[in-house]
Amino acid sequence: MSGNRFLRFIITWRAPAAAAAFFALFSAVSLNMYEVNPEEVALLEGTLVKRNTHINGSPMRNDVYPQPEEWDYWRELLPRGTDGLIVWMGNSHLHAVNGMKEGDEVSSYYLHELLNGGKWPGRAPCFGLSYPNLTFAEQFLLTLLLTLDQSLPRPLIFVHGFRYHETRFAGVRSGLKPVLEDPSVKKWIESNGELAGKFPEAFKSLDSEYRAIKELEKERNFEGFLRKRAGGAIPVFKDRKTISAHLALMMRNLRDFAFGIRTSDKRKALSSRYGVSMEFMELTAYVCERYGAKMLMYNVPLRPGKESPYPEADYDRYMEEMESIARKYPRGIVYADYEDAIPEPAWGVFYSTGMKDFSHFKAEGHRILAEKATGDLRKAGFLEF
Amino acid sequence: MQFQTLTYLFFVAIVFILFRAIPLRHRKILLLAASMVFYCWFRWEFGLLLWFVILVSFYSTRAARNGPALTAVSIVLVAAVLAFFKYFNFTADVANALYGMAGGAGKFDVWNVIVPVGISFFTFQAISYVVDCARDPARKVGSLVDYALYISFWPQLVAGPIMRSHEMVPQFNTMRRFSPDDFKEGCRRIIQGLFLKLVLADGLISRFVDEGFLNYAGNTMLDNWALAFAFGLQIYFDFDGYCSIAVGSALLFGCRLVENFDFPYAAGNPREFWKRWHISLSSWIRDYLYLPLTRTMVKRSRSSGGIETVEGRNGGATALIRSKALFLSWAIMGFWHGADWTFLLWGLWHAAVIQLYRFYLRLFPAVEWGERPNRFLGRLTIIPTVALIMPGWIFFRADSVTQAFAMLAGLFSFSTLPRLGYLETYYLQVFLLTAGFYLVWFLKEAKVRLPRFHWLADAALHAALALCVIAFFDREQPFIYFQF
Repeated sequence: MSGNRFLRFIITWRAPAAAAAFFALFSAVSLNMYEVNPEEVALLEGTLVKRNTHINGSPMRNDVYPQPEEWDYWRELLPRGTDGLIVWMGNSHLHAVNGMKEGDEVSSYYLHELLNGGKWPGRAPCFGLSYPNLTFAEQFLLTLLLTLDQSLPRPLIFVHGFRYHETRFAGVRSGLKPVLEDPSVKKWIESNGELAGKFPEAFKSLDSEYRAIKELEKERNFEGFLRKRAGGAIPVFKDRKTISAHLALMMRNLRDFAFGIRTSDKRKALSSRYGVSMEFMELTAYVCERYGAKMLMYNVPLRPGKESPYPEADYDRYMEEMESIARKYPRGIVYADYEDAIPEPAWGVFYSTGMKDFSHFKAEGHRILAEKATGDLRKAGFLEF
Repeated sequence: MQFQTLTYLFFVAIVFILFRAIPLRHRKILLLAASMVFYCWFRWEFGLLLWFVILVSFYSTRAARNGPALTAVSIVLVAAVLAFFKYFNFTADVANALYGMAGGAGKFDVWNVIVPVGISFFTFQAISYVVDCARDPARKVGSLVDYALYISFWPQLVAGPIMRSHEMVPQFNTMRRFSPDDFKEGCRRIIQGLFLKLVLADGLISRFVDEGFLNYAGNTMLDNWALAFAFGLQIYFDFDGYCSIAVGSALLFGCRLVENFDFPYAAGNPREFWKRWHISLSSWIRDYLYLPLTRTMVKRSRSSGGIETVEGRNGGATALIRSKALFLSWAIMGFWHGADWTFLLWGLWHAAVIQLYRFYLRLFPAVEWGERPNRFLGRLTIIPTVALIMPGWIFFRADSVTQAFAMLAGLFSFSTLPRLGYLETYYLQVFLLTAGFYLVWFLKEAKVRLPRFHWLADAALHAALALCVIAFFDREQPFIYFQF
């Protein structure tokens, strides 16, 4: 290559070469920024997450960043061959521990301990299953999946924490899409089309989820293979979901800045999502009753000593509707009001700002919640087996 | 094979390597074979249909005595393919509905006809070729390979741009030399297209649109306006993203496709919008439908430009004829997008908006909107133009006519002010994307150039775009225009 041609080559290709260099730099920076500890993830400063917890060496699962391939993993963890099974399901209030210290545990752990001592699985193991901002649609799908699984011990008892705030969220996250595709769930939804008359918004939303899945099916095989390969060769490709989640978080922070939203603000119910969320809550109760499962449903505790974080009229309506759903399905569904269950000392603050954490309590709060749930489960007669 | 998948990028890379490795004389065959693989990836039977259209249109123009009758037969055959596959189910549904209304018991059994991907586009290209050859026999393409490649060249096969034969075929003979500039520009356009599609259209807006159109009954006035804008932006980013990948892919093989978009929401008047939006379709409609309907002789067709309405160029057609031609053309164009009444209404909405603008011009001929684009006041006409264009998208996205009219009425439900029914993030995203669109347009108009190290800035920009594309790679949804 003559000098001139080489120079021209450098000049011509400098932009792509620089682009590659920038790309490599960004990749390195992003990977460094978003590296996470697989066991404990900082949810918010001062509030840590119990991702996996162990009882005598047997794991329980509280998933934080679920990946589709992890799905089969936690399903395998569900105990079988016991006298019964309790599944405690809800959002981050179940896995986040404010001011976490060595030895601190979460509600499902304490409930298990209260019922079985230190043994795993014991007579009636309690399995914790929580995701950040678990939507009511997701709670319904997970309940349906477990209820239809005949290999699980009976009686099957659900403890469902429904948080008013989650009525603002909708849909099924990609990590939980496999639930929609599970043959038993798919068949149930297809064969219960008549329920669409009673739960129109919920079924419309499920239908739209299935349509989206169908669109992608044809691309899945070869594309899946290529993505796996690309993930192996390009680290940033492998961690793309984490980067995407952080971009979403940045967008949320920008929104909070733009709209002047603070964590202590009263957020109105979203009309577009509230109705469908409540339909999913009722569907959860319907499925439990229809298949003989038991369910304790409660509203997630609020921090006392402060004005309610929700508009009063909206929140009152929500509580009334929740209670009326429990009344509508009396066989095996009970409702408990845990709004004031956790006293102020069991709540904490974020270290650097000193601001109060209104959503997650300390380990002491988890213990109190477990005690309350044990009492209510006994009172309802769910533990007489 | 969707453009926004690794499968497609892998496919392009393999074809590119082969293209450069094999002798010149085999390259067109390679591209033709690659196009068939690309198309049959969706469903192999579609390939047979594509070849039927290619053979009918090619040989009908080559027949020694191809007078108007043969041209008409060829057009009818190609149009019949489109009509059958795209409108059979719809027609059957309408027939069943009418039968039911007339008191008939039961209904006709109908087949579930699957619409082949891209059928609207390749049939339109074939029709344009047949008509062009009838108008000017010199337009005939000599070789079947060239013609088949013109119809089936994969970057433009499934969703356009709708090219004319005289714009494409000569390029097949000049695409032999490797041009580093074309290669760079091609890669750049592919990254830009993926960014528009995966990050902006799918990653940032699609959830709001899906949710908003699904739960439309509870929407407030602000929701409906935000949704009209959101879908307007989504379809623009989606389709422009597709076109950008198409243009970029073609450039890798030394072939230039026409640009389909030119900042459409910066149009100063409704007529100008169609010179900036889906340009290859609007010019197809102009050359093969609108101008013939106004009895105007089309001397030279071209796939850029939009609707021609300047007095004196319309063969002296009266205002009434032009109006009739406008509504008929736009109704057909709406229906071309999909076999549903909502698309028909979308076409008619645009016809009505253009007609309104014509009335306005008759009253105020001296004050044409956007006539002085360099002046601040001239630019302000973008606002009423966009305010007329955006609500039309509701017809395009709605699942039913009832839904469309409910949402349109909702645009004026003042009693719901100032409530918002969705997450604040959604409104913020719509605002940011709208602002971003106008900022980029302004920078382009103002011809802002980075004085030094612009190549470095360019490189950094594209690296950042590529990183965003990777972060959003899993949110893929099919391109909206693939269904047409």
